[in-house]
Amino acid sequence: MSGGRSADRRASEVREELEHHIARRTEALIERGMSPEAARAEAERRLGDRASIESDCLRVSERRGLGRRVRGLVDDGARDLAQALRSYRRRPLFAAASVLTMALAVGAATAVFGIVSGVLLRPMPYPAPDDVFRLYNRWEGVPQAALSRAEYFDYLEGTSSVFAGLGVFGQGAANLETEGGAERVLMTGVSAGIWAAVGVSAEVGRLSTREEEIAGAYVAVISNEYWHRRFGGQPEAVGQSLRLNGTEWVVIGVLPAGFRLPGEFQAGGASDLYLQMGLGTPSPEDARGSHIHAGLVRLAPGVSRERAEQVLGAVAAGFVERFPDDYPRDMRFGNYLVPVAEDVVGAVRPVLRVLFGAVVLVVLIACANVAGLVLVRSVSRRHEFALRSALGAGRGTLGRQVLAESAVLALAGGLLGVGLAVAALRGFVALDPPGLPRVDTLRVDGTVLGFALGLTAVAAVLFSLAPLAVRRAAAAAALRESGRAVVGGSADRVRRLLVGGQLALALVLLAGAGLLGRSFGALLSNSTLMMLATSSAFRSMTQSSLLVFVPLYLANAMGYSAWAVGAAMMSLQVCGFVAAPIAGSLSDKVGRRSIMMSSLGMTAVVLIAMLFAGGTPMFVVLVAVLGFFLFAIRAVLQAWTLDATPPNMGGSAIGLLFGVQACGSAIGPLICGILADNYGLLSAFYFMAFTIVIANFFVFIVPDIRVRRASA
Amino acid sequence: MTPANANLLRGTLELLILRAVSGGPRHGYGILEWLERTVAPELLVEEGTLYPALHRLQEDGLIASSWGQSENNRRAKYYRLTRAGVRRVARESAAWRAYAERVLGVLDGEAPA
Repeated sequence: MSGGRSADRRASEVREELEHHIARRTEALIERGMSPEAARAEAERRLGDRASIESDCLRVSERRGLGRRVRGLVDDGARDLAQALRSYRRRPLFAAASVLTMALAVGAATAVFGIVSGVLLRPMPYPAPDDVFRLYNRWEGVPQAALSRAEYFDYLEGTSSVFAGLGVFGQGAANLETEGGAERVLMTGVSAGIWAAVGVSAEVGRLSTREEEIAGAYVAVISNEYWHRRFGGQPEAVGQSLRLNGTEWVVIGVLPAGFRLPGEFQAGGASDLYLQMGLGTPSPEDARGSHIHAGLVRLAPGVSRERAEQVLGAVAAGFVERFPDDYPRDMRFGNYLVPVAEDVVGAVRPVLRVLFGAVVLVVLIACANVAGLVLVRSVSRRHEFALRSALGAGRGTLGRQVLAESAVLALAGGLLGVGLAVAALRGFVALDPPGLPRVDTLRVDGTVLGFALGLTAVAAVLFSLAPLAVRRAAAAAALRESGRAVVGGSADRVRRLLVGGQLALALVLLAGAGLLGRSFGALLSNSTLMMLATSSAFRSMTQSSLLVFVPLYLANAMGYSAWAVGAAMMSLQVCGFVAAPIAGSLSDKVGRRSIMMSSLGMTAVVLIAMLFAGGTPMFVVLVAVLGFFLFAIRAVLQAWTLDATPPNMGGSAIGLLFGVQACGSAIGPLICGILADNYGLLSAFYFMAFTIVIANFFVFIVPDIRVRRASA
Repeated sequence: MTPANANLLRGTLELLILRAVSGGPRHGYGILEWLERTVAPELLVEEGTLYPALHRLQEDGLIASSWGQSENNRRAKYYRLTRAGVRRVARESAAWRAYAERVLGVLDGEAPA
């Protein structure tokens, strides 16, 4: 009967059917004496969530027929999304918290991936970049050395069978005399073979030749950027002369935009001028010991790196034998090739890898957090799901809706995250961290966007798994069993899993942080710092446990809705927002120790008061008061840490502090979780009071330090 | 609705709906009115949940629907029992009766020692 009808038609029929129901119910209520407006509202209320009823009806009638099924999938997707959006509009706080968490995680991960992709993965800007190598000498005690002039000639002559190009270069700066005065320019001296080695051709004019190199002609090739800056991109630039340190150089050509030699990949490191070195021809007087020319080669087609290194070895063996005075036997002189990408970014690769690993863990932790939020919410919605499942919505339908809701969260988070990543990358480029090559050309490109998209999809699946598992059980059991025990039980299991997982991830993160730091050893011998860090670890244990168990207690023991839980947690943080500046500035006047000890003491007092106020509204008030004291400490703690830190070690000290803190943060919720499972939720709060007292003990025994004043 | 009521409902709602249309075509609201009058007022806290059940019964071929004019001259969708529906009502009613008699026999009989 409904075989050929379009989805729109079916949807409008269901709407009409429900509208009829509402009209009739309204009339009936008016007859009973209600005002028309009130009657209509009551009729709507009694009908229930019209959107989900409509979609359940439509799904029922779409269950059969393959053709309809395929078409239905598209309609279903759209309906699932629309329904998910509506459901979040009713719970904006939950949606905002989840989306922000995802956005921060996706943003951080995408930005770091942008760096990894731009620095490590992006091929070097040369044709067939895998054929380009740096050529180094080495000898006993000197693992990496440049070439001398005489060696350059030997290599040039002896390796023409394996290299399509061999050149040397050396970078520096020079004063360029202009009409207005002088301009400081970055310049690179090159041999003519460099052009073939990198595989570049001139955009305007021509490149220098070996003949000019032999003749010692004063010819210069300029960068595209300099061409635009100084000559306005005019072709007449070719043939102009430049006066550099008292010598006239003729511009013979312009390089393509973005041209860089190895060593020029730092931001601002690109040369303006490439001057042809007048290297001439080999002469017996050439010094062999002056290793100042950086070597660059390109393999000839079909030649392997091994073959090239054999030939290079033979050339070196030749001149070592001919000049035993320059190359004594125990010098063990040799040479080798390094892929140009390795040469440019090899040093930063391990750091970027660790950073990337860390940020992936952050994403996983964020997913676990959002999954936790979704879980709390799904417990409060279990009845909706149970009822709909009883009345026609299949498991698949509910599962799809959960997935759609997660997808909406993840997508919104992902979009916002990409925005954050773009901003972060711009900031990173502007910051121009020293030692990191290729930074100035970083941007969010297709690869990076693809990564963000994939990450978002994975996140959506990850954090819909937990609530799905719960809903499976809930849908089957909630109607049969009247208690929340069944649902609560399976939600608790998943929650425990999330906490346990987060602990593991946080520990790994910590290990990664340890890998990044090398100067931490020096700080470990600073006992003031260690005491403060340990104290802070116990305080963090309390804090992170509170952030987990206060919401749990509010939701489970006091029956608060997810929204109310969010509001209570906000009050905790808002008080910290007030307290931190007050405590920080007070500690400057009356001393760190007294402020720390009183705040920690008050935290313990409030925690104990919470134990007695459990289950009453007073509990929520105390949560806010707790925020005041708990967060007051952080500012003082960091200030104290800096007081105790030698100059120029501030970052390392704070890093150590945070690392040790993270240990505490990681372990706290786990311990509390075990306690709560075995002894009830309130036992976790006893544990927290305990840890804060320990934190106070460590503050008490911190040795006095002479406060270091910055010299004026 | 408490979960216990909902559970009872799950087993019986479909049979009750079939019964509601066994005397002749009714629209959704009419079925609800009949349920409230004969089974329990406020049986469905969310009245809308009736409709997915109706659509599923129709998809299972136990009821059929057509659009018609309602008592007060509105367009409404009427459901009527199909032959398969008639057979289902008969079979389920018999099963319920047998079950209820057995339970009543236990409840009215001797208390276990």
